[in-house]
Amino acid sequence: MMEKSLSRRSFLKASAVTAGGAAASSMLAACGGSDASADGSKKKILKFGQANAKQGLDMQKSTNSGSSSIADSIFEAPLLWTEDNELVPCLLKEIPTFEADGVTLHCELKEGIKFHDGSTLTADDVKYSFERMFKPETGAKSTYMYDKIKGAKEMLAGTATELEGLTVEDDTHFTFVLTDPMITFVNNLGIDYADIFPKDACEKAGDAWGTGTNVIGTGKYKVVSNDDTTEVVLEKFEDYHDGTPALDEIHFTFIDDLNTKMMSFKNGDIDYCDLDASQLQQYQGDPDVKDLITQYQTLGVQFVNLNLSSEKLQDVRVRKALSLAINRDELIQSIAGGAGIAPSGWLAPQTPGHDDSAPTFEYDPEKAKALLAEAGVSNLELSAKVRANINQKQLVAVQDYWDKIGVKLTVETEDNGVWAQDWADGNLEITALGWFPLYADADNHMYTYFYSENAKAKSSFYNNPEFDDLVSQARIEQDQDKRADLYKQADDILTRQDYATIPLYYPKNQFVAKDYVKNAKVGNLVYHMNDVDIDTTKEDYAG
Amino acid sequence: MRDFLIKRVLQAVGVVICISAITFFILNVVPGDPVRVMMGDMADEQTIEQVRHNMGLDRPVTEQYVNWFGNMVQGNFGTSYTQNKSVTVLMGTAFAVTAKLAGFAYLFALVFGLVVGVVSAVYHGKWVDRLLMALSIFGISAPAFWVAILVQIVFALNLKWFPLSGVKTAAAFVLPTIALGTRYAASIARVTRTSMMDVLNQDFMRTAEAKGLKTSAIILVHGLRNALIPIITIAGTQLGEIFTGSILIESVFAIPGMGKLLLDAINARDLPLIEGGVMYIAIICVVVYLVVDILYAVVDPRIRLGGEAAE
Repeated sequence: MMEKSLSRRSFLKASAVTAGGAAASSMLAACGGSDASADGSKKKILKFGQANAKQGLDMQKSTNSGSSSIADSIFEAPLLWTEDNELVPCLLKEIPTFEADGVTLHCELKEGIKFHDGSTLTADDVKYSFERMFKPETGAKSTYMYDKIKGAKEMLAGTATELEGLTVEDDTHFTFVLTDPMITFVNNLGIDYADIFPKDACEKAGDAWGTGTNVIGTGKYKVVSNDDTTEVVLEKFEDYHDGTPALDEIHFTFIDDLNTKMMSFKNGDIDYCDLDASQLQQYQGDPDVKDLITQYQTLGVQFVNLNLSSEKLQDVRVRKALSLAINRDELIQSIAGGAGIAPSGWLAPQTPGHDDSAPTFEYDPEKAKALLAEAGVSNLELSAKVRANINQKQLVAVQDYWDKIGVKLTVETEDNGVWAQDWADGNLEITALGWFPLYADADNHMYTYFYSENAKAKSSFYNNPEFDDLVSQARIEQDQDKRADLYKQADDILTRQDYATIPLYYPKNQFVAKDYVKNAKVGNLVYHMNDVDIDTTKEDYAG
Repeated sequence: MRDFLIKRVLQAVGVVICISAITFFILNVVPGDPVRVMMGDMADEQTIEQVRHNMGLDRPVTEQYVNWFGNMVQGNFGTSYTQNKSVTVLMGTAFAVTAKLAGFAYLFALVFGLVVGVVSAVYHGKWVDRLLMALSIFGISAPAFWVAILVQIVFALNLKWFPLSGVKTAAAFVLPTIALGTRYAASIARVTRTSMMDVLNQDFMRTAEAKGLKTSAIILVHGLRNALIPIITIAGTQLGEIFTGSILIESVFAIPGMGKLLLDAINARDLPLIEGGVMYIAIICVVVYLVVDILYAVVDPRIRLGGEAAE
């Protein structure tokens, strides 16, 4: 008995010693010197903090902007949307244009582009990447953006194994043939869903492609380490095809908790990260952080979705009254912490088709009441279901505004999965959400949401043949000015004639970056490190 | 004792199988479409249907369960919908992290809890006891996430003694260990104190004292051992809790452990991962209770003998 208790005590003692030793040794390790280049100058290491998207870095399989921010430094697509929301060539020599038939697109790759593994990019890699996307076993999530390529739908259905509409002429020339005209196809070649992978390496990695260090692209930075759970480390790719990348290393650290992420920023553990709208006011008042905040305009819109199949929402006067009742300027301040601008339509300002001359939506509760009376509507009761995020707060504010014109709105919160199902099934009378297109083009905005066939699956049921005509024409119009004009007209019909939806505001997002981080800029939602640099002469840059 | 063990192990296996079936069917009945959550708001109907088909989610639930159960018995929990990785691999990686954190936190809780409890009992009614018990009340009632943020601000942001978050170094585990272990340490301390005070008043303690044994031997060998049963009960259940992951602590300290893995899986309706996670929790709980039962018998011969006599 004595022996047993002795051994128990010595166990405890030993454990305490071990724990103390471990802590001490790691504290010593933490005191190591900072990284420096061979010539003695400080290495340029950017530390970016973000939540872990947990979907891997293969953008055929992920649709998460958190995957994009890392993947876009490693992989490249044929074209590129810049932070100024412009489309420029990337792997291609120039932006291709359709032949007169509207379906044939000749493309030419730049010569001698290297992948990180040293192999050279050829048109075969392009063909391989697109065919991989349409193979059912890949489970690609954004095939709808490219499935107008001849043979794509057959591959998806498993009835073909080769992509008929993509032919390779030689190492640098290839041609797409579409089933029918789709002008935005070229735009879609600038999104990371069209990333080009090296055939051999990708085939070898199989299902593991996009995870760990199975990420080999042509991008500015190549992967050094990636544990998929805590950190991804990239380093400069010396053989990059378009100049030398500015940074030596980029460390992406995964921090899901918003509060911890901002404390890590203050602590200097990370140099650059997103700042959530819910924390904006707090950090605008923090002397250490307030001057490091940058706001940017997204391409999206936050809006109230009206279900036009509801009996109660048939009369356009009722819908207009609901819009008139909302004080958008006040709502932006109270709900979004001021991070938004009052809307004048559905399309956000940088999107071609946004009408600069249109006034912002009017706020006039008296006029709203008069319209309801004119429509013979009283004691209107509406029900809303919404996800527990900023949209819920928006609807609670709307509830109050509508109450003032005699409209009762009940707001119910639903779990993500349930809401998504209800939304698609057309079960939501009223809901609120944000719509963020992938790039500055109205097609993704208007056709995707409000074209009659699509609107059915979004609890909107908007169906106006005139609108359908305009957005369909815009899909095949080659002249960009004419396209913009078509969308201008469509937006007017949608939001100012039909009041088919109620835009609340064009949201702004914001990030924080230390003052030694140069060229930090976000064009839409994804953080790109393409142009980011570090000023090593700044005193507070530790290296 | 052997029959007792066999019986308990068989019961445990039955419980695990029942839990697997219940979980699977409940998850398939709960509203919410995993494919839609996974694909996001922008996805089109055709792609959603295509993905649903590829994932086999358009097949009957019973067929899905039979497939899943067959694979599970062979140790294959399927592939996570969102992460495109084997559930076994994901859980293995997360478990390694959780085990480390839980191990440290548990050790911290046991050492602090026992020491504080014993000291309080010995100095019962004195100012040391009052101070320690006041602190323990504070430890029990302070929410873990609040303790977490507090230690982050004090020891990482201001004093810069330890890393704020992450799992890169052993030092990074210090703050989460304190944040996670504090509550458990406090409750172990209170139970130890109560239990020790009961024992210290027993006749055999006076006998030990009369024999002229050293005070430390009296308290630890005769006192603590006899006070252990209630402590084992509470420490056992705590072991189960601590090993199934602390969602809040893992979120706050950016620790990729089991709790965070499961929370994300639930939000994303990642059914294979949720099922794998629930099975993991079930197995941990069943095993912990089994071990606790066995420990009772080891620590207190009366339980062991009583059990055998009854048989």
